[in-house]
Amino acid sequence: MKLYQKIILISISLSGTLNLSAQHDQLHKFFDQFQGKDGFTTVYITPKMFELFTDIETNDEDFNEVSDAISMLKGVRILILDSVGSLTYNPIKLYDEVSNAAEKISYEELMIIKDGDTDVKFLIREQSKIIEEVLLLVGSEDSFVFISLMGNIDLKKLSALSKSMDVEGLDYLEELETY
Amino acid sequence: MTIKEVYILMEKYFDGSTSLEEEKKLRNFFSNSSNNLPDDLKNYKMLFSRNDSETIPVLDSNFTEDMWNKMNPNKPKSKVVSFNAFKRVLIAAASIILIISVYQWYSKPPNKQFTAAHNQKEMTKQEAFLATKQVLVFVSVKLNEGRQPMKNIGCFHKFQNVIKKNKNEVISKNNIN
Repeated sequence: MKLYQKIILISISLSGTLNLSAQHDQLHKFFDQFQGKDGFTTVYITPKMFELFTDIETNDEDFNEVSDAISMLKGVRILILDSVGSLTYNPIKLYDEVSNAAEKISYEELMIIKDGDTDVKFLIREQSKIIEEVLLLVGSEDSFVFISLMGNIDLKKLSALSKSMDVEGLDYLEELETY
Repeated sequence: MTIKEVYILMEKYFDGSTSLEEEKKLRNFFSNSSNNLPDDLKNYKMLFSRNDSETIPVLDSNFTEDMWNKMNPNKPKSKVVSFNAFKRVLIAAASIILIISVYQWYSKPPNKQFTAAHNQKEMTKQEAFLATKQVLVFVSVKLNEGRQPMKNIGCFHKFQNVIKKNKNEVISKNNIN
């Protein structure tokens, strides 16, 4: 094989794999883009942190259920636009923007829930029948929530969690904004 | 100097055996002589009417080196172009792709540590655990909210089965009759 053919082959394969990972990064850039801006709460819990959870000391009564669900995660990203932030940023626009961007790349819609003026959308990214990422978008007039769960995710386990803990649709995330 | 002497000197000159003084004599003769030269000597007038400085070349110190350089130019000969234009374009394109790939690789966003917004502070293990828990529960609740209507779809299937069952019963009754 001639030199230039080798160069082309190597570079195409290189750029191909990079573009795939770059696509997911593109969505994650949304998190970085709004990080530290007024009205936004962003949290990124890294794979490293999940490793540390194994020897955590806590008196959380739901520890067993939660740690079972946590064991399937590798990373969590959260972006919350609160009511103050929604004065400067349009939550509905953000919702559409992220949702369109996600569908353009390898994310598939799992379910869409319209409850009053609140839109909820679940998207998943599968790799050979394994769900590698779950996106949850919640958009309304005065708030926008964008959650990305990465890992090897079992939706049954995930839905069983809130049942076992006996929580009804209370807004659990509000507490998160205190960080 | 007689003409005869001149002839002798010229013979010597062309043999290359004249001394510098003899050559000078010749030059003097030709430059001083008027037009009454014999015809065969007239042709040589130009040769001997030059100045001394011109006949004795002054060699500068670099002469030998310069001469060698001129005789033996050590420059590399321009290579025979073995690639045609198309291949060259291909190589250029491939190189550009390669450079872009490498650039992309290195310009990947840095792997940030767990940070909570506003003040960019790092979370403790406990905080991160709590946050993860809250997120998981939140997602779980939303997931179940979405599944609530699904249960009703399940009812529909049950209803459908009942209808089928009744239908079958009616059909079998008809058959008996």
